[in-house]
Amino acid sequence: MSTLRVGAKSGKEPIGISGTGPRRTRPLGVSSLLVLIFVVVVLCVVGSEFDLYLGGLVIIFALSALGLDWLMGRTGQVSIGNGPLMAIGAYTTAIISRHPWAPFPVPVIIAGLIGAGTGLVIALPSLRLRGFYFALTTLALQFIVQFAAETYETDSGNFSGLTVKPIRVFGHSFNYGVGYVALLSVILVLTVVLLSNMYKRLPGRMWRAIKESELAASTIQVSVRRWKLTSFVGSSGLIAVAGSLFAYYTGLVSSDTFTLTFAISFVVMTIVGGMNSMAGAIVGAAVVTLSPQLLTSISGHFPQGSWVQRDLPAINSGLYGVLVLLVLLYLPTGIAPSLQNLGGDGAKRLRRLWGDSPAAPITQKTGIPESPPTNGLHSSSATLSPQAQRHGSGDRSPAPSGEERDERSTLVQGSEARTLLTIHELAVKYANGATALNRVSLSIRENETVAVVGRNGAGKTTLLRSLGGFFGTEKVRRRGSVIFDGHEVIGATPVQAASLGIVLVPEREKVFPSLTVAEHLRHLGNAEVARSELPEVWEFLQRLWKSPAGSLSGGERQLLAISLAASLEPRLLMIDEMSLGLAPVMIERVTEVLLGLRQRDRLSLLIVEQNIAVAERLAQRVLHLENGELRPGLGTRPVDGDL
Amino acid sequence: MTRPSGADGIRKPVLKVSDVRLSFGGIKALDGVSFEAFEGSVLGVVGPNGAGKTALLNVVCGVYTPQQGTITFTGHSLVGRRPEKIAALGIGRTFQGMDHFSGFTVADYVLLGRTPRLSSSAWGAALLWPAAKRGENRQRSEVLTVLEGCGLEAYADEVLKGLPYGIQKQVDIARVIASDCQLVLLDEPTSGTTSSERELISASVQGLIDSGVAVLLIDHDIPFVRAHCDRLLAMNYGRVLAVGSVGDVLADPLVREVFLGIAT
Amino acid sequence: MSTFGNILVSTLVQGSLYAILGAGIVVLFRSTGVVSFAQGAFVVVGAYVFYYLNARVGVPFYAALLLALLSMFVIGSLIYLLMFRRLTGAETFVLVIATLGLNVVIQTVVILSAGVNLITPPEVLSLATLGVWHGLGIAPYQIFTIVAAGTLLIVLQLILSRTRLGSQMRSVADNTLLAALMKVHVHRMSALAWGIAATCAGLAGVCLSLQTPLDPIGLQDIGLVVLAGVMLGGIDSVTGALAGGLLLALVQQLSITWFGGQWSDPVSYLVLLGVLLVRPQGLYGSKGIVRL
Repeated sequence: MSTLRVGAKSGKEPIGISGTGPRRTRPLGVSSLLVLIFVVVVLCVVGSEFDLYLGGLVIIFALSALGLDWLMGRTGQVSIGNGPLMAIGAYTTAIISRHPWAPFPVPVIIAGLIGAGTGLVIALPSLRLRGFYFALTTLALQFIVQFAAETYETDSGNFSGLTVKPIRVFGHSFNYGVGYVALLSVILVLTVVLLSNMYKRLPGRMWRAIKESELAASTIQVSVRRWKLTSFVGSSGLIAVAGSLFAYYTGLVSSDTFTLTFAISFVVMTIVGGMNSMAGAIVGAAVVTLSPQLLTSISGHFPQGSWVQRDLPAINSGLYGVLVLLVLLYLPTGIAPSLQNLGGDGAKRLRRLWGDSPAAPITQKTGIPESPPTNGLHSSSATLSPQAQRHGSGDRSPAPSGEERDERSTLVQGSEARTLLTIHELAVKYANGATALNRVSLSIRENETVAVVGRNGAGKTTLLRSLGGFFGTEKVRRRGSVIFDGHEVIGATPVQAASLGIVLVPEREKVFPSLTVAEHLRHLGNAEVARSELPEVWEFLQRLWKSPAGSLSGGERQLLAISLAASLEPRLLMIDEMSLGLAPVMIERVTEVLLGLRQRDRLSLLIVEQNIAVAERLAQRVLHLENGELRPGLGTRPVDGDL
Repeated sequence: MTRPSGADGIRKPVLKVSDVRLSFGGIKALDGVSFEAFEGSVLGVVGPNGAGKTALLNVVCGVYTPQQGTITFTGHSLVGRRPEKIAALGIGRTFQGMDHFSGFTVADYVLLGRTPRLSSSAWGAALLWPAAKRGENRQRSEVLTVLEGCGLEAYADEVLKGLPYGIQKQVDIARVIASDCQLVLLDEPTSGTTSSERELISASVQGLIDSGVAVLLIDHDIPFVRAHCDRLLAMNYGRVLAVGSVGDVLADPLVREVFLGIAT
Repeated sequence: MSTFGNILVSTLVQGSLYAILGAGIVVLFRSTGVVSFAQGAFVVVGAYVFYYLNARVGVPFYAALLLALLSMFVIGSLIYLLMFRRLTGAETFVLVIATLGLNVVIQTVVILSAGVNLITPPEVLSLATLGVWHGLGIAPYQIFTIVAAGTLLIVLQLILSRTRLGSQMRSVADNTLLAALMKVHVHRMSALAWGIAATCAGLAGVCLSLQTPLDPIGLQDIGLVVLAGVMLGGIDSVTGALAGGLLLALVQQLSITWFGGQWSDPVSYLVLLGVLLVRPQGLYGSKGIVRL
């Protein structure tokens, strides 16, 4: 399915993308590197042997997490493959390092190459599949590699794992301590520098483009396949290298280590630390590696034999589950970027965007008495106010002449019906900043039919959606006031709006393809009401009763949709582009149906139309929406000059 | 409007679309569309909702593959090619909603247009090979020049997401200007903008046009289309109503019926 | 009992377990778009709750079963309301990671409450084979498992296709926005879907507890292995869950017979890999869900 759609995106917000606000991505800056080096130095100077051991472990895991950050944080591909890849690196090292022709760092290099090769193999089929398919592939890899490792150990007699001799360089053996940590730190710093160089330049831009939108990227000369593969292969190689170092460091390679839990802990590291951030990967590695230690020392303070001590391993593993959930739910960008963003300029830039707080949530009846009887004047004059001009909307149309004003007021003031809906200075912006509506004001009485006409892109659908409600995830910003039957509904969700009696029949997808006509009317709507309100339509739909709505023609769908909507007993029924795609005969039929429906007491109708003739036939009042602003409809054909 | 109107026998067609048909499920998005776009000419594509304008754009740049028909661009056939290959041939496009790359800074985003001129070696970047470094620096300064030409240099290091929508759309146009294409597809450059933003966008679009590339301009805003196009393609229900010079098309009775029957 | 009989019965039983679990995953995926890696944890909870009620408190079999299933439903819905409701509209992999994290947390809670040691429940349904007929023999607990699966699938199918609730759930799966516009309470439907998924897993847990000792770590493996069956069948098809589950069980039984018991899991994951490489949408899944 194409992601190149009109209008707002569906509101999915990528986790951890380094713009929580408009901040520039900073690959690990010089200052962060200095902090890292400082920490390492302090550790070497004051740390105990155990501290140093832990420090080395953190560095190795950080390398692995950096690999995952490359794949997941930068390129946007989900993977739980760190476990198997590190296992591949570790076992390769364990086996090869026994041979005299392979002193350090030969096994490390070979491990990296084999890891890269594995990455290539598992990546190729997933190039065109959705995210979680690759995640499943890595899941399968986890169990297959673990099984292979167990089988190898059993068959070769190494039941408790393979031992690995320590690193020997120029006759010097590396054992735990300052020297080892220093070596590992150098490797870490080098890795960070290399990665940073890539992220800052073309490769980084390519990966980010892929992460943001693969499809769109491919249309602007980003070679998606090639760069995706590069990311898979490179990160897999790096993770395997981390596995190789892990083998040397711990001296023992056993299949007990590389469990699913182990693999997932790296995902936890990147999420907790912050994705799309190398500092985050390192911080995350530290947090996840050290927290069990912290927990162990805390539990030492508990009385002996308490549940805390007894079930410590379980708590340890449960801990990271809790960490993940907490971060996902409350700190979506992770710890490191959240800390970075504590700086104030984030807030400053947000203010520049538009400045206003998100729309207020739906409140109870505001207690506002019914608005004074309005006429068409109220809507038009508000939009042509000086405020509109101050906001830079240059559109100027001549104020309605006195003659036209009277004409319109007669149309409306005739009835004594009360006002059902009052929209005041409604402004709507989508998440990407696009302005959809610019201070629209409108009111509708009970039992009134109003039509809004205008070109596409003018904002007609947005107007209806604003009344029908947006999901929170659509991230639409609304300003102004919409009062329906005494309730402020500007922040309402679709369900809330529908329960108040506002029902919208959308333009495109207006029926459920896999549900039958019967299921629509009997299960979603109210069959009795449908039959009594629109008997002709009910009869018409009988012969399609068992057909899935997906097999209906455009006109049939429209009738079904209107029938369903009417059966929900709306106070305000809104129809978006009723006539679109319908043959003239069908348009006539639907118009008749709607005219009949209007006889119903207290039902107001708001329709959006491209077709002026249809609009005039149905509506008592026609308004004109142009570039997000409402103008009084003139009720006459537009002249040539307007075209 | 200083461009000569009408399909000139002298000017080369850059893009030839011939009897293209595209369906999704039962819906015919494009129902036998044929037209040509010429070097140095701006072809506006107009039509009501559902007319097939977006589908046409996506078919040309390779997102959809038509079931029938041919599309040739400077002699190369486009049907069946992957979008990246089509883009590499020299076709550029803008995006309707700017949500696609909102995390990029302005400079980085416009740099995306210069991708082919940069060394594409990952190792080169990682190891800071001098050639890669020099190339990157040179392209950055060229991008800055383009931004200056568009009046956007002040925003070079700002992240797109935080900028006003009109500026984002101008940046998108700057990107295609920087990318040196032979055919540019502009996807509703004015949608979602206020009228003051539209003036700036209009200037950017004119800047692009003045560089001489062939342009396909899809938009709802008829005055905007009139101001920049010398030729027009009017569509409805996936079919071509009329194609030719702006004046001719707008005078076409079928077009008038469809367009005057709807609000303008 | 002959080898053939052995394989047939084991396939049916194991396949039933996979079908039960898989149906829950499919219903959840279709309604909410979430691929749940957390079914394993719900299996464990279901098994332990049933054991506690039946063996410790002394509630008779069917009552305990009913209560266990009910509690699973409540737990599942609560998980949605407290957790996944907040993650509506989040990216796919956030949801994947969240279910993985949930899996661990629930498992930990079980360990903390019941300990990590194996618990062998008393024999509830006889493990003895009821006679042998033409080389085929089946024990009561196996009959129960198969019947339970069949019942569950039929009930699910009936609910989804005949009831008001079912239509509402399907409408949310088809087009969430339109459903909301048509007054369907989408969040309630999602909570319902989670409840159903947890109940399915709980039932599988109860069936498992009839044949194996309770082990909080080992029991939840099935929640991941079942994914091979679900993908094989097609992640958006309940029929697929049944077909895929049975096929997977068959492949497993053959591997055990030919290569040995420890090959059951690796072969399953090889099947998963195979499906992803060759036909990602599975046997009954729709192609659209697969591609970008």
